[in-house]
Amino acid sequence: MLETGKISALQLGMIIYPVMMSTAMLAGPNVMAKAAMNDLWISPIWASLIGFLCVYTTHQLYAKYPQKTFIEQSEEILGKLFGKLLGFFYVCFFLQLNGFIVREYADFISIFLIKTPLSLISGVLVLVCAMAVMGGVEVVARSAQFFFPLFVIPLLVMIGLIFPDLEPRNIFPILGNGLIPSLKGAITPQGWFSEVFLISFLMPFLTDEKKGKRYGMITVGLVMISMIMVNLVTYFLMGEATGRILFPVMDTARYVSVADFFENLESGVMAIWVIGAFVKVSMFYYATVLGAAQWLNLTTYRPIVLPIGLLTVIFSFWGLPNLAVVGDLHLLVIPVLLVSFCCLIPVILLVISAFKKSNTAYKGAGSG
Amino acid sequence: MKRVLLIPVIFLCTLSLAGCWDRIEINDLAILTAVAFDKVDEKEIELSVQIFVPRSLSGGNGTIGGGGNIPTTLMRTTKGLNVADALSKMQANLPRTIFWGHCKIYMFGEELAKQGIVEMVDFLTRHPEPRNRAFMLVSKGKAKEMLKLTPRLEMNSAEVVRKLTGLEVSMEVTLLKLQKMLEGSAGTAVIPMISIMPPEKKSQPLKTTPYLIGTAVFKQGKMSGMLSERYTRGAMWIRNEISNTTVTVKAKGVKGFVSLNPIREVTKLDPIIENGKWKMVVEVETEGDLIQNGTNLNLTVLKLMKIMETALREDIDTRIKSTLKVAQKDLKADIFDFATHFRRKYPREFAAVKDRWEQVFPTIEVETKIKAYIRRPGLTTIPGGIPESEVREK
Repeated sequence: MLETGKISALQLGMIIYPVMMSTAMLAGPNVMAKAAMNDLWISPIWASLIGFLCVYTTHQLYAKYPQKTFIEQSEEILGKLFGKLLGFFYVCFFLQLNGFIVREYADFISIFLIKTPLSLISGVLVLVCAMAVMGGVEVVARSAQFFFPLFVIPLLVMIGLIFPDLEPRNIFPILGNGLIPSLKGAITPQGWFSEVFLISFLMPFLTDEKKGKRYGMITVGLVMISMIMVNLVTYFLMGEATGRILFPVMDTARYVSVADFFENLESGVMAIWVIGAFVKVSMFYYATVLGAAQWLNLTTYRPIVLPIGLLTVIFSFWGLPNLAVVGDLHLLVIPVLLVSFCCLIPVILLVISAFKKSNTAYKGAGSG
Repeated sequence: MKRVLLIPVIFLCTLSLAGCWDRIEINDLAILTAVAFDKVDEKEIELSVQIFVPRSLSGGNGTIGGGGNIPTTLMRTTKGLNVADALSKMQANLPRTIFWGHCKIYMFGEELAKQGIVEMVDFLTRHPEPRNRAFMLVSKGKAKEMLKLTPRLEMNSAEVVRKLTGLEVSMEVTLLKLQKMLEGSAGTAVIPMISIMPPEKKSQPLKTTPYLIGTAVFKQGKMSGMLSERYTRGAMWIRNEISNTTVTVKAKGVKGFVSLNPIREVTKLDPIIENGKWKMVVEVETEGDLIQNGTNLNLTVLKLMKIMETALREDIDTRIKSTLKVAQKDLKADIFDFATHFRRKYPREFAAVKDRWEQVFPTIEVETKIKAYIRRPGLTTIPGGIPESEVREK
């Protein structure tokens, strides 16, 4: 057994919530407003369907192959050769994706820390995450649990403070151009919702296994509600300009002005984003490390934590010259990859395993 | 051994955690209080900034109020191809780093406004320091001149403009609102206009203050016309922005004026498309107190009160109608954002005319529905200062 730690189902939810929400909170309203305009609040509802499907398939696979993560499951289902090949793709994909997330984080921070080199910003984050991952799943879960209120409460406070400036009428006309714009707006968020697939790497360590699925579903639901809320608040404030503002939530915080002195709360949003990015990156990091260790049949994953961290930092630069490329990838390529890796392939494996299970059962009966 | 190694690591951490390595001291910053953009010629713009001089405040407690030898602000001007270019040139001869975070006022000279302000707005929204809540203004003549003024009541002219705008006596346009208007369906933006109050006789020419004179109207980011203060008020009634106002009316067949202070005003715009005819219903509901009665009517009598309510209604109606006429006939600019209201209720019909909205807007028929109530007569009942025998009770 690679991992000896145990976490609760509630902690699982508290890890997964920031994983899905942190990117969505920063760039979400902009991405969805570009495609859906004032129907941007409907897009998370469509996108969350993928999230629910993901939780379902991941749990079904887990129910068939208990105490196993996806990397091990694929070996069982596809056999040694193809299973290893698929596992290799997954480890590479996680590595690349984590590099991309680190880059997004660094790009945002460097807008304000102009003189700090990008490599330092991403390096420091990865180093902190490496410490969490080194401590194992329990440390990742505990830090997520500790940060969860710090992630959610400031967001709610900010929404309360900006309330007097909101113009709820901006929401009309609802579905003025039919369903298509809101569906288009759902393309990118689908990717974020697919990330719930990471519960596959947490479920084996649950103390209360039966609640895993329920908490996964609840988390997806909560993320959907939070996304709708954030989208509505930014659109109520900025209206048609939302699609042009790169980080609408931060601009919303900047617009807060209570009694002429309680102003400019963007540092608060940056703090939330740093917390969110920490949880997100350490979870992906942990999944990569655990996956790689299982793929290589190691007895402990600790020796590969730092090398993989170094690779993550390198991946945050490879092929990502500027924000234009990052933005392009973010809009279409990453969501498609995420949906296929986190949702489509697991569904296919589930179907294969359904056939295979009956086969092995038959074989087992035959040999016995 | 491991524990011993930990000690220097902790010390290193505390060093970097203090955040001193990329600190910016307050006395290394040139804090801008107001920025003015002016046109030089077709190619160049002129950037003028008002910089706060902290030394003027730190003269010790005793001298405050008495001194005033050191001006609280200084002004710098540079020319450049665009804002960023002018800014870099300005920084070259300024010993402190320019800091935009506290700048609450951005002013465009009239000439530049006519040429277009989109480029400046782009700079302000792209740069991380300028605030979205900063006020935007257009100045009559050169905006630079506003920065030179040394008003006597406030510390600097930027503060005067900021407080004036904050009073909501005229339109209040922030950077975010301007951005929204420029990208809105109407393609029209409004920005309040300021001018220099003529100085009092015998006083120094710069010892005066800016004041609001109306509203600049922009079409596609270019200034195309202006609304006087009177019509600005009218526009604010329709835009549901009016809050601080006094309405003075004269009723038919009654001698003298009555002034009212509306406490609460709500304007609702209700667009209607019937048989291809576009119509906008402007519903105004207002209530307020009597603050001056120059007539001989006893306004605690219900019947006489009704006369004044009718007069109030008619006055608001005239204001709105005359403003609409100016906007539809003279300016041909949708300064009330009717476009958005139509888009919200009739998205398909609006999409069809979106590109020629400028031609559609003047043809929209407007109907007003005004409800005005006088709630309280103030602290006296019968008109003050006239004999009781002359007071009209019926």
